[in-house]
Amino acid sequence: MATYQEHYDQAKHNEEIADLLLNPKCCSHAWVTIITFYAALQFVEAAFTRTIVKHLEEYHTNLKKGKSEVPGKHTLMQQLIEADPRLRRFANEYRDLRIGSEASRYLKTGYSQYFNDDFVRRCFEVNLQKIKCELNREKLIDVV
Amino acid sequence: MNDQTLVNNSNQSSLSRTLSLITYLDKDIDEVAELSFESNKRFFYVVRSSKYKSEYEATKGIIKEYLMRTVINGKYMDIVTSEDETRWRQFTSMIMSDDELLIQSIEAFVSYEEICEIYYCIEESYVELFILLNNDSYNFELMHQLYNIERLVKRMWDGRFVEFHYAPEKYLDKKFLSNYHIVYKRG
Repeated sequence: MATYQEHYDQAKHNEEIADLLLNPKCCSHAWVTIITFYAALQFVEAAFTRTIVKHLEEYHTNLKKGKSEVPGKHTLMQQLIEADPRLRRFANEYRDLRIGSEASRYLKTGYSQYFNDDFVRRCFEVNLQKIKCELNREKLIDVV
Repeated sequence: MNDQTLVNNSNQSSLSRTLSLITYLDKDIDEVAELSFESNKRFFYVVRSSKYKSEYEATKGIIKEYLMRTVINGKYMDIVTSEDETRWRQFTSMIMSDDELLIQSIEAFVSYEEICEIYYCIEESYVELFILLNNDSYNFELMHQLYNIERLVKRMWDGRFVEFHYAPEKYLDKKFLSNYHIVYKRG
């Protein structure tokens, strides 16, 4: 199981790559969105290590024991965010990132007009920053 | 209710009224739901956890004030408050069939003109709703409103696993929806 520091370092790494692809001019809407989402995911996973969830993977495995149907890990992550008052404040922003990163799976070519420049930039500059800020405020991550 | 298309109701829906109530209250209320099981009477259920017990009476007062300001088709209204979350949930699932829950689930969504089609799939304990949007680009403010409705709807299906998907109609290959049934189509 990854430690807090491993999740945090991976999140920072993803954030730096998204920044490189986004600035000064976005060279891939899809990749910036996907990497931004995974940066957020890693920040939240780092935060989980300081909550009763501890490790998402393990939590998911335990949930599956004795149950025929359990949500997928991404859906479980969303549920855990919404269930915790400290995390709930950025549930919508996290959902924006998740939808954007999933879109390429089932949308036809041209969808980047829907998830456009403004979408990508806001995801990175507003949503990801809000997630970090809230986690830091709750002392669930230490932004350095 | 396969392939049934609902007619859009221009009246404000009960679910959206409930959401208005929540917005109006803007407090740490655990759950609010409106259930109507008599033709001339509406009941608001407010569920609060015991940690907010001290604010409980104050909240009831705020709701009464809201109801006085809100005219809902001239119907009588009553407020039933409960601190017992489990009891309320059991009650909800007892009085509603899957079809009724589905109709209730989409009611607040269809008041948004950006929503053009809604598809669903129900398999035992798994419920999926696929919402198609007709706008040209992702609207953060709109989507956040829809996510808030979604949370309320999920609570109605207590014990069932409910998942929502959203996609722009223009860029979605409809073949992807071949296993879903349509429940709403605008126009």
